Amino acid sequence: MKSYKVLFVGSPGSGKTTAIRTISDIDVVDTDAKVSDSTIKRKRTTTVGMDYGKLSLGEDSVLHLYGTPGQERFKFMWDLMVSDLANDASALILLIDNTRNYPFRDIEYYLSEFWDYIAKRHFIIAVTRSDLKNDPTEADYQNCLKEKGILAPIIFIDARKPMDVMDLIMSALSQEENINWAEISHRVAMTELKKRNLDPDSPQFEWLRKTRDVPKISIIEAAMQVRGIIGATHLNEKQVQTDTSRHDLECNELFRSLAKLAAAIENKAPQLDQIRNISLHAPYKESISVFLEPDQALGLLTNSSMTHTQIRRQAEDLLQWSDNVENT
Amino acid sequence: MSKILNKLEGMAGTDYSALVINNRPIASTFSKEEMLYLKLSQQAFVHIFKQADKIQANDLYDEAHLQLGQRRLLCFRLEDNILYISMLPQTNDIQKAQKVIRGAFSVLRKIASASTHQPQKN
Repeated sequence: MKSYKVLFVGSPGSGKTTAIRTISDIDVVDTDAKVSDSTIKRKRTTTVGMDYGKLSLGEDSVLHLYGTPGQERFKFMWDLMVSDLANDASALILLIDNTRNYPFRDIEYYLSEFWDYIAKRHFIIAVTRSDLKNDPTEADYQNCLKEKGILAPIIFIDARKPMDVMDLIMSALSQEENINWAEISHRVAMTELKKRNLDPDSPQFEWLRKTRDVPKISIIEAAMQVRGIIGATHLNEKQVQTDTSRHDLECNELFRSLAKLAAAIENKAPQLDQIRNISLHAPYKESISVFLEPDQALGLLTNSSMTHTQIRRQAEDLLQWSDNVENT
Repeated sequence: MSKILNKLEGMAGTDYSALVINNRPIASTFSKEEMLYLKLSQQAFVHIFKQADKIQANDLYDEAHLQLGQRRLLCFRLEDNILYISMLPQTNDIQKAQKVIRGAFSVLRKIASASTHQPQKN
């Protein structure tokens, strides 16, 4: 029996679990847990271990589908999968959620994290949720990859549609011969037809219900649900406060002042890279951090127990999901 | 003096560093190309601490970070007028750098103290 493997990676909510579930012949082995951090804005559950599914490619060959957990705090699983479980995978499929505020930053991040792995395998970018936000376009993604000197197929998909995911798989295994894609596609399509059930409360729609959009909450509400964050303030591109967890927060003025300083430095030395973060620390003392984007900034007051890396991860994720950008 | 800074950089995983007294670097390993980062960050850190001190009269913040693209500048306030500034590549471990540099505070203070009592030699 010949076996192939494909690894799905991507940010939380980009559709890794959904894509695997959509075409797997078996019930997907998932490790979803209730969301406990800023991801709460988009999903009710998140993968904490890994996803595993299987697709038969014929009588004597099978495709194993692996998905990493999206959140950076489960990075140890990425290492484990890359070095062990999916070390012999044929391809890496990077899922990019088009509704994130800065999707190109996700490409940059995953390229840097999986570079050694990608260099030896077929690499594909799958853009999801473009039905909810059509910008950036395919041309934008192509330009982004061109600037990085990378050649990779960019495929826009709906991770819930089996034939869309099949396109990805066919591209991932395009160099493999002796696979009857027509037959597999037909089987996947027929299975999908059989599965169709108009009753939205039927158990088979449970996974859809789990991953559907939940009512949106503001970046500040999402921030305050993260353990370790004591206060949060959102600023617009003019460093004006748009939302805060507490109007009497002592450091609100400091957040504004640090954001203004960043803008002043960028004006003074435009040749330097953009200022992404300014933070203040002291032993056993709450940390003050401002994370800056061209169109918004987030000030956070955090417990001394939170490391800088933990604060950064949460802030970057919150800024990626922020709805406040368009409001400002 | 630069040798000590180089050794500290090796242990902390930083690329460049400088000891600044009264807004003037008394020792620096910043290359010519990276000098702009030192000049700019030095002014910025003075401003950052000044603003922070306004809300914290006691128990002052003694560490500030500035991330410019892939570069992270770390500044430690050893005394009111003494700063230790270093540059850390994004991929390197911040916690390790923090721990190592904090562990070297007494050495850095001694160097700063010695340099204020004798003329600087190149």
